Amino acid sequence: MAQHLEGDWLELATARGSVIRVLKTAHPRARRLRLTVTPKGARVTCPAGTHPAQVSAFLRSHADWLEQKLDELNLLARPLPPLRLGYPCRFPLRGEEVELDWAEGPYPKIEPWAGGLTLVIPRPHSRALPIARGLIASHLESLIRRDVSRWLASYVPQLGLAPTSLRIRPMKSLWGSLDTRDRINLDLSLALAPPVALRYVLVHELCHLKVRNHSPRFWNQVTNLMPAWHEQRDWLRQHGAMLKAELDRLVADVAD
Amino acid sequence: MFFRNLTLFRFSPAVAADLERLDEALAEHRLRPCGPLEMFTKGFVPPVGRGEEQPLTHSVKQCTLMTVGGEDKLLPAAVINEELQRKVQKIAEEEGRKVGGRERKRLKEDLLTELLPRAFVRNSRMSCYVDKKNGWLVLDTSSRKSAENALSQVREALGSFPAVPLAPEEGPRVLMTEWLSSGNLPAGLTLGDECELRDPATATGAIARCRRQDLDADEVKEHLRNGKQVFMLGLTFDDRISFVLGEDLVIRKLKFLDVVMDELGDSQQDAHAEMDASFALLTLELERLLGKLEEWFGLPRPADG
Repeated sequence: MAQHLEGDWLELATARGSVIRVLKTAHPRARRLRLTVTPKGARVTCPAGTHPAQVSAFLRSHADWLEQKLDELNLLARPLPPLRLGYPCRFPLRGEEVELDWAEGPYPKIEPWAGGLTLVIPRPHSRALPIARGLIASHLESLIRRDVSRWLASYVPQLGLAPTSLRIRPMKSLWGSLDTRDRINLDLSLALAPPVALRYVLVHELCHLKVRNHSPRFWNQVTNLMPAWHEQRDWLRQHGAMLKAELDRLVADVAD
Repeated sequence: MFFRNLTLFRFSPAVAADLERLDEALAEHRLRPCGPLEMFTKGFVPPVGRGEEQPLTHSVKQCTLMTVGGEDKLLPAAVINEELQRKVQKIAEEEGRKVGGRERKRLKEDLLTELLPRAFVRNSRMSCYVDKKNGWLVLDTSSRKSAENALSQVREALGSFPAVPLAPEEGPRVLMTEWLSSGNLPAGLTLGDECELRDPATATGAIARCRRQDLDADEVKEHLRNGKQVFMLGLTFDDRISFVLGEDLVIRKLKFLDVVMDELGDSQQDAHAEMDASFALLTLELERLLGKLEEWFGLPRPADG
């Protein structure tokens, strides 16, 4: 994504009178015009040398769709306040709204309690915010690892197959992936989702060890391990963008 | 014989029971010598001694040692390219024409068949053992890639070997940072003299590596105060074993201290008896250490399905 960031912002007026900003990027390998919506905003990708009139005609004809998708992403409704040192805030953790609190101490530390987390940061400190983000990221990662290790212990014997390793990091649009060397990658923002949603993603990736596509045979496998997977997939589809936005606010680009 | 690095995997009691057929399974995957036109071969080699008649496993109590071997031809791409260049130039000079892409490819393949039989063969060996009682697979490597390769070798031989990578319940980074900052280590552990501290940011994160450093010193504490976390920590266990523990729970620079080595004695009659003694000592010491790791970091053994 980052390497194609050179581009200009187009402004698109909608039927309702608002203005949507769309990032226009020319991609050398693009074959056709493409409009995508991510939590970062809307973007239109076009082959190099496309006439600007063609781009704006394309945008105008899809303005309704774009508006609807942005609404679904809740972007127009509620931008999240940024994380600020010393100001308590609330965020979802394992599907429940918890409080993030700040305190002072000799070493940076994160202290979980029943209704939230306390970030202990030594003060005065010039790099307090990056430290806080780093602490949150490693705490979230350890939460995911703990859950996954418990579930892996029971799923692996059922499947007879095991992943070679497990990586947890923020991902842009995926929730998880399985690569050709049988390594499972999970999105860090799953720590904010209810554990059962994380469990669905894990089951999904584990089933790819057996069936490496999304054929009916694959979904049968998923149903075997987790009969109620539909609900979780729907949940992630509905609330996913919110989770990714929350994670972005909490850890920004700190976590690996 | 003593392992220098440990990469760990866990397996369930049912899988451990299945390992009874390890001997026959490995026999079909014995390492064959690399043929003249092969790039590499992989297989298992006897852990003790050499030769066809030696067994491929060596068991002491519940632990079975095996060795994954490989023969790789050494044929650097630079050598092939150089030779190819020479040939192409010769054709251009003698026949006065250009050499096209397809012909170039064919020439390269010919070169490969010509050079391969003359290439050197490099042997590689990696030992690993399975602890059937506690469900550990211990590989003598710190590289994830060679560990994965060896594991897939074993999987191939057995048909199925669902060993899981370690997935600790306690975040090792968090726990080790806590150890280093508070100085409160679990009983039996003492701080060694090296560590790697990193800012948990991806590309921009600063890294501080210390060797031969008193870990109690203020400069180390200052790094922690600035938000760095422990990614590797030198530790000594029970004054018997020293090692460097990584945040991925890979153990590096494993060293048995003199107390342990003295127990081994030095009056061994033959290779076999010596192997027996040192393997028994290794597994016994590691059984205790791994048991403790399981306790500190929460590493559940997979249950039977």
